[in-house]
Amino acid sequence: MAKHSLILFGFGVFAAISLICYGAFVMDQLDITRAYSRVVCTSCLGIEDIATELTFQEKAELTKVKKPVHIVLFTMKGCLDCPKAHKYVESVCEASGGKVSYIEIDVSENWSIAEEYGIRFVPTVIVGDKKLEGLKAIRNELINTIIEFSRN
Amino acid sequence: MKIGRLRKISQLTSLTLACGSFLGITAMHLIYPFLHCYACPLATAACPIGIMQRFISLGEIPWYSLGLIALYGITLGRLFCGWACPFGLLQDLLDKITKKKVIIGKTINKKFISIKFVLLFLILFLAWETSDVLFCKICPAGTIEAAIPYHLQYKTTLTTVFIVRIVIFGLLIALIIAVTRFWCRYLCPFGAWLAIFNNSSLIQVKVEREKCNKCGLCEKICPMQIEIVKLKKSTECIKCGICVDNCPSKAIRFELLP
Repeated sequence: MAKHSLILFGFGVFAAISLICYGAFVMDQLDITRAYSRVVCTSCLGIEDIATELTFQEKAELTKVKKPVHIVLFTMKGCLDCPKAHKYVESVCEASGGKVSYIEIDVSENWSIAEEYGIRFVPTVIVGDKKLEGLKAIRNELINTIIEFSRN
Repeated sequence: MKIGRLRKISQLTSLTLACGSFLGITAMHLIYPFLHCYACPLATAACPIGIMQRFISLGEIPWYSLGLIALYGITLGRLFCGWACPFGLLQDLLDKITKKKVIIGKTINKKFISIKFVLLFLILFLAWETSDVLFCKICPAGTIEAAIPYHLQYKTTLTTVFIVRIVIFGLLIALIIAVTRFWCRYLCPFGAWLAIFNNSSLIQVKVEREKCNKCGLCEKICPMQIEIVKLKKSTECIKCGICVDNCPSKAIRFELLP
């Protein structure tokens, strides 16, 4: 084993471990790494692409909401479907005449909440105990889920 | 036991660990030492290239990821490509389809090798410039490990991104069948990262020149088309040990920090 190789190797390992410690403990990047690796962005996989405008029929459906419904929208920075889901959820809330309200949670900033809800995909919407994962599910099932939930 | 057999065991163990979430193994704050999509339904850790893109796209320097993948490079270098990467295992399996291989000329091979370094730089630069993880949208490892399984599981609509992914993946498979370890040699961005550290990593392949009878067999069978006898060290060596196993004069061996 050559001495100079060993010194170079030791220095390299020390520098790498210093970077890991700095990133993990000073910059607090551990949780963000976990959030990014745990949560799947559907747009990155190219598995969804769907129009998010509300139809007249859907707007009429939303008038059937009887009592207030609170929904949670999980998004993540860098997710292409998330702004579309945000826009859709916002228009659903508007069309309901204020009966439906939502809060948006950025997974990368609130990992513990996302973990509590078992979030695997972004965007995801939670209505009561029902989880709608991905833009397609949100687009196709959100209004019916809200109406059903407001009846119970 | 032959190195080749040990390597197969190592690759299969690595695949099980990489897709081990069904066994309850998860360490998502850790980063794989190879290209493996974190969106894979069975993933246990994060993809090195994916996570770096994510941080860079948000305008942050990925200190933690850089440190961890530098540690992988410094300790074992491209040994991970040969012994642990699931995509490498897939290439080894595809390689068995036909024995008729396209041999790339030495000059062209040398030029093509640098493509992956350019690709690595481009991927990180585009992540910063576009604030998006563009490579993840076409990554072949992501296609087979995540996009196809999710598509089959959820029967989602066929999007342009998905079709582009499948076309790229199909082309790559054809190239891998024609040229041994095509992806590792010329395109893998994480292979490029590990290659930077490969010559100073812990384990190296050593040729004992006094024993060597210059038969040239090692160079013929090397999946990375390395001129083993001529070069003292190579950034491209994935330490697969095929040359060690097959050298008729036993002149090639693994050595610790030579």
